[in-house]
Amino acid sequence: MKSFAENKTLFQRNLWDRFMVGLLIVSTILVMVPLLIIIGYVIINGISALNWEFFTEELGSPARAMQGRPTGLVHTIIGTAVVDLLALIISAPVGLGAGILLSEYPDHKLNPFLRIINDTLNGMPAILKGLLAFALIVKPMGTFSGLSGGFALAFVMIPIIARSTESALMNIPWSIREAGLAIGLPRWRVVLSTVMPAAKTGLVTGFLISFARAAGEAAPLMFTSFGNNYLPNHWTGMIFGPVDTLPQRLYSLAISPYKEWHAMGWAAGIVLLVFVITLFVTARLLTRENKYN
Amino acid sequence: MEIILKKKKMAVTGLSDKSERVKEGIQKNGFDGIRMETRNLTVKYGRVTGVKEISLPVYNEKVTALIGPSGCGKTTFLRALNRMHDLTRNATVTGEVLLDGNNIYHPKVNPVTIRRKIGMVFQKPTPFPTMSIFNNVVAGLKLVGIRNKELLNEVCEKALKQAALFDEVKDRLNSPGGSLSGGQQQRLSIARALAIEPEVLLMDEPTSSLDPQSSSRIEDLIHELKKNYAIVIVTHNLQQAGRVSDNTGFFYLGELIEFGETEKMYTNPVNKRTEEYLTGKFG
Repeated sequence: MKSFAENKTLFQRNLWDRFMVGLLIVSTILVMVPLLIIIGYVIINGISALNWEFFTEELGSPARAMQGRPTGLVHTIIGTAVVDLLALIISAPVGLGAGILLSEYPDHKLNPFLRIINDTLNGMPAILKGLLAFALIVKPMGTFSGLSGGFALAFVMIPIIARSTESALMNIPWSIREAGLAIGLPRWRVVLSTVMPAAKTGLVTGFLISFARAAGEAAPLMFTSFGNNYLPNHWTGMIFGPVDTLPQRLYSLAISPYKEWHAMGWAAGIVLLVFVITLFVTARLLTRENKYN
Repeated sequence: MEIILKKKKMAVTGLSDKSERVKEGIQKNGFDGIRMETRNLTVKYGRVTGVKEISLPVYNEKVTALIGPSGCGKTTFLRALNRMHDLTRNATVTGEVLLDGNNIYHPKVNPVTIRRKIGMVFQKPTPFPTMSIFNNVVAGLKLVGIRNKELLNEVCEKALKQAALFDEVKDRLNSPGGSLSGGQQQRLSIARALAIEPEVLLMDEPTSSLDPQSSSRIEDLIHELKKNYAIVIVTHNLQQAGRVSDNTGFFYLGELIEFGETEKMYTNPVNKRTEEYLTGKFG
């Protein structure tokens, strides 16, 4: 009698299994290749423009680059940090609050609407979020500003934070909440002191992912932070005046007619990639740590 | 005359009116010292009835065990006793639950204050994962704003001693609550419930996820605790109910079939179904 191993159907099934696994590997490679090409291409084109001046000098006029005078994107890098941090400060409490409401008060009357609004906001083109911030902040203030850029990016981040907060809190067993209530704690206290600390890693990961996502957005910043070739005279100019940001500077350098600026655009791409990849990898590592706990 | 009529009714239907049954039990056994009492308590999940018109007394300094097959409503009933159903979607509670004569479902009563008077221990140990042993025990005090270190230390030690855990953890009160073994975690949960000094302690199958040794430690503990508390314990384990309880309620299909002194019920059950369940014919 034939053993199972010699059985023809088993052989066929193994073959089929290998074929399917092969397909999975091929599709994984298909996903990876464009990413690697992009990263490689950006590095090859931009590495020559990455020097000390790139991180210490302002951009100034095109003449600077063409005459070989020192020029760089220090104002852009600082501007990006300021606008992104403003966006995080604005979006974190709102997104966190919405996520807590969705997860901890599932019966709340507002939730169905909140869910629809959140999904719509998440799917809305980023440029419209820029227009929204333009109407809400730029128009009344009468000037482009880092603050309005922060609001525009916050509209990108809020729905992502709300979602990730909701799922991070939902991952905490319901029994923890009941245990808290059973010792006579009010509901808000249970959420704040027992559920949220337990979900800390998930919450931080959500912030990082939304932050990385917003950091790469150029469209919402066109009508809001607008762009600037120089550092402002006073640091408050970063918040209340037009500010440069990496994704948007990358775009304007790329469409400029100067060869030297194109190279700087690629270099800006490298900086942005490193920034975003660092955030995503940190988020990944945090999530993995969470799994082992 | 009335009693004869009732007996006839019982003979015909096999069941007597539930509240009557409890009263009968009280008259027969001469019970006194009621701490909690439910009157026609019904819990529904949407349209599905969890428990139906339960009237049952909980006596002070006594252990009341709730027994019955799976899905018969024991836990549903227990959770109604400290308003845990407030959080359950679609759950509606009708009837009355009296604590020292006051209905805890009265609209003016705050469920949070009720839960401080009626503590609860769950089936699975539930230490707060991010807190130390010390903080777990005093969570019910610390998180409502009590910061007095001396008081917290005192309460922590007392509660851990009551829960027979102090000697095992006294040298590592600052290590995480999750680092304890399952049995220790369950005693930690009990200590946490005791730290807020409730009047009644509800226990929902507190030993079902524990090994026999840990179970027997918890049982010893229940014996100790009943000197100060009224205890209601849900259990699947008939021997356990027999060992630890003074009174027993037998639940079947969401109804209270029989209630009485454990010893009497175990040796001489009034209802046929109780007898069948206790002798292992079903359940």
